[in-house]
Formats: sequence, structure tokens, C-alpha cells
Amino acid sequence: MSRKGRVDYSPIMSGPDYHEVEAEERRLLFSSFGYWDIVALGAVVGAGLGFLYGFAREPRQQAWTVFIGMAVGAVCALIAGWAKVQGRARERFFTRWAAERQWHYEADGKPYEDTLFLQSGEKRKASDFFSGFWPGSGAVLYQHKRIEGSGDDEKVTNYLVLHFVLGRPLIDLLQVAPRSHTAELGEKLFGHSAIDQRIELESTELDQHFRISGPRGQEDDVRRLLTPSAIVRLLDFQRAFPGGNARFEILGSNAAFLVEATLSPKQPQLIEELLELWRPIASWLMEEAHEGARLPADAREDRPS
Amino acid sequence: MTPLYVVLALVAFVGLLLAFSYNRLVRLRNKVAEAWRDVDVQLQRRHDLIPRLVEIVKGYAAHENELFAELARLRSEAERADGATAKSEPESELAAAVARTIAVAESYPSLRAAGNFLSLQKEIAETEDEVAAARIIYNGNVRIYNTHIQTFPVSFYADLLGFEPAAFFQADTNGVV
Repeated sequence: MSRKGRVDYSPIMSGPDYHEVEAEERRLLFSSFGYWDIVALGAVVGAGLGFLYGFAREPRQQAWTVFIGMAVGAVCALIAGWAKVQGRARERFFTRWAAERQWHYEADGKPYEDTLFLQSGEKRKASDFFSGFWPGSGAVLYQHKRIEGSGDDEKVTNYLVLHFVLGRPLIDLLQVAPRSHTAELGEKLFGHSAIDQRIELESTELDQHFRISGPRGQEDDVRRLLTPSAIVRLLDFQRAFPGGNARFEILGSNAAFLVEATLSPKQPQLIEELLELWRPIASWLMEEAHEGARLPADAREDRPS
Repeated sequence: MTPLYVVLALVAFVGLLLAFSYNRLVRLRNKVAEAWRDVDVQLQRRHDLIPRLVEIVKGYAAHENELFAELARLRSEAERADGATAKSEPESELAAAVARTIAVAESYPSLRAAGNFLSLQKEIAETEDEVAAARIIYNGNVRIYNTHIQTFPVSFYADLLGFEPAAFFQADTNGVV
């Protein structure tokens, strides 16, 4: 494939060991006086609550409720400390890991909501924002949580999202989504969407894996954009990451690539692997938009606020 | 009456399966044809670039007449060939001849730096990318279609219904530019 306009990419490299970072955090926590203070405080608060519980009951049973309250309070404080260790270790590890690659990491932020799929779901949450991996492209990779339902019916799906803004709008809407027989049956039973339409391209394999849709009446624009080499790039991604339910979406100049995956500091190489797989498709889009990307080098400027 | 209903239901079921299967065969065959049209379009793009390549290189290396004549001959052979099997060889040779012409051109520093040559070289590289991609898609469609008509139970009736295996397009365009 042509090398024109390829974005720079750092090769996969080693990094800090998460287990070491976690052990260091644990050591810091356990050696801190404040932590044991909190555990003791938890025991005192638990004892007080146990006392009140025992006092309120008939016949009064203060002694064992105080003891149970102390134990529960201390255990809660221990667990809270443990959870804090995990959170801090995760943030420190990713910050160091990203810095070694000259990337930028932010633990929290708001989810992007500028493409149709990123807007879907009743609630959305985001975390672990990485940027700076393709200098000048403004691309950001982050963990996106799509939440549907609530209570016992709540369903959370984790996606790793690569988001970037193109130099100019390439098409009003393009959705490359995993093929869903349920959605197709629904379409047949209840009619087609008034906004977009399914577009069948020349590749049988592409049709087996993806459902391509574009704006009604703009089928030619989709065909012009999805040239044979673009189709081959999509298929290459599908072959390299078969279980990821990959999605590609463009809305005007906003582009988002998604796979179903959960980011873990124990497997940070997933980020590099995905970036390597997404790179040819992202480069192709950026080439189509006639330049690298419009965004400034510091991608954080375009974060949703 | 009951056995008759069972037989009718079975016949209807088999008929329905056959109809679905036939429709799938037609769809797969159409996909092969559609992908081939795409290959053809990309090959035509390659053919259209050859006169420009000859014209530019001739301005600097007029004595390479043999190479230009070979390019013209291979281009005309490739254009005359019809279908994936017939086109495979002449297209491979043409791609190799284009690569040789570019290699010759690159040995002339003034030509290598000329703006029109650089833009043509880029265009050729892009066209070769598209030819390679269109070929991958076509061969993928052929593989799926051929596998479908050669596997049970379709293999029993595909031939009767006129579904013949399609030919792969095996032109080697590696290392053209």
C-alpha cells in the first residue's frame, strides 16, 4: 500500500511491570501511618454502630454486637484501602507506561458523544484516555462504557475507542457495524430506516462480517470512499481481531473505531496492538481528508467538556 | 390424509430450501462478477497510465525504444485478453515491464526529480495498490463461491443449475513500484 501520509507510530516496546507498581503502592499504603489510623477508626466506628444496634434490641445484646461491629468496620477500612491501592496503581502504571512512549494519559474524562454509536446507550462513562501516539493527529484512545437498563437489568458493554477528527467531512454518515441477524430480521419485519440504508459492496467476505450503512441517497459517496484497498484494510482488521465486534463510524468529520474490550494494566500491550491494527485504516481516512489531521498536537484540547 | 400432508409439507420444505440455496448461489456468482468488474476498472486505470509513463520517460531516455515497444505490446495483449485466466499472464508481464521502466527512469537523476514523473509515479503506486486490493477481493469472492458450489449438498445440483467454478486471478503485481 502507498506510504503517502502515513502517521508516525512508535514500535511496540516494553514498559513498567504492573505487578511491581502495584506492590510498591501496597507497600506505601501499609507503611503509612494514616492507613492504620483509618483501619482503627473503622473498628471504632463499627464498634459504636454495633453498640447502638445491640442497645436497640430486646433483650439487649451489647457485647457481641460491639465485637462484630469492630470487626466489620476494620474489614471495610482494609477493603477500602485495598481498592485505593488498585486505583492508584492503575493510574500510576498507565501514566508511567504512556510517558515511556511519550504519550499522555488521563485517568478520567467525559466520553465522546459525537458519532451515533458513541451517543447510544442510556448512560455512558469513560476512563483511561491515551493521546499523543500519532503526533499531530489528535487521535485519542480511551475506554468507553455503554450502559443500558438499570438495577438487575443493567448491561454494561466495554469498548476501546479510537477517536479522531478529520481535516474535512468525508461523508455525512458511514457506519461499518458487526453483522447482526437480529437487526436484519427487525429491518425485514418493520421496514428500513428512513435515515440510512444498507449498502452491499463487492466483497462477499465484507458482507459476512459487517453491515455497511450510509445516508439514504448517498450510496455512491460510500462506494467512492470504500475503495478496494479500504475494504481490504477493514478485512485485515477483522482477521487480526476476530472476536472484537469491530465497528467503524464516521459522522461528518468525526471518526470513531471501536472494539469490545476491557483495558487492563495487566495487558497494556492490547493498546499497542490495536493502534497498530487501526493505523492503516486511520491513515487511509486521513489521506482521504487530504492532510494529516486538523487537530493540534495536544489532543486534549478537543476533549468533550 | 395425514401421510399426504406430511409428504406435501416435506416437498414444500425441500422446495423452500432449494429456492433459498438457488438465491444464495446467484448472489455469490453476482458478487464474483461485481468484483471482477472492479478488477477490470483498476487494470484499465493501469493501462491508461502507460502512455503517460512512456511519454515522460521518452523525453529523457529516447534510446530505450525496446522497452517502450515491449510496454506497448504487453499493454495491447493485456487489453485483448478477456477473463481472469486469460488476463493473469499478460497483466503480470505488464506490471513487471512497468516496474522495469520506472527502474530505468530512476537511473536518470533529472527525470527522477521531475515533478510530473514524481506525480505519475505516485499515481502508479496508488493504482497498483488498488489493483492488488481488487484482486484480493475478487479471489476472496471466488474462494467463497467455489467452496459453496463444491460442498455438500449444493455440489449435487450446482452444476445442473449452471453454476460453474470461477477462475482465480493470479497476476503477480508485487514489487511493481
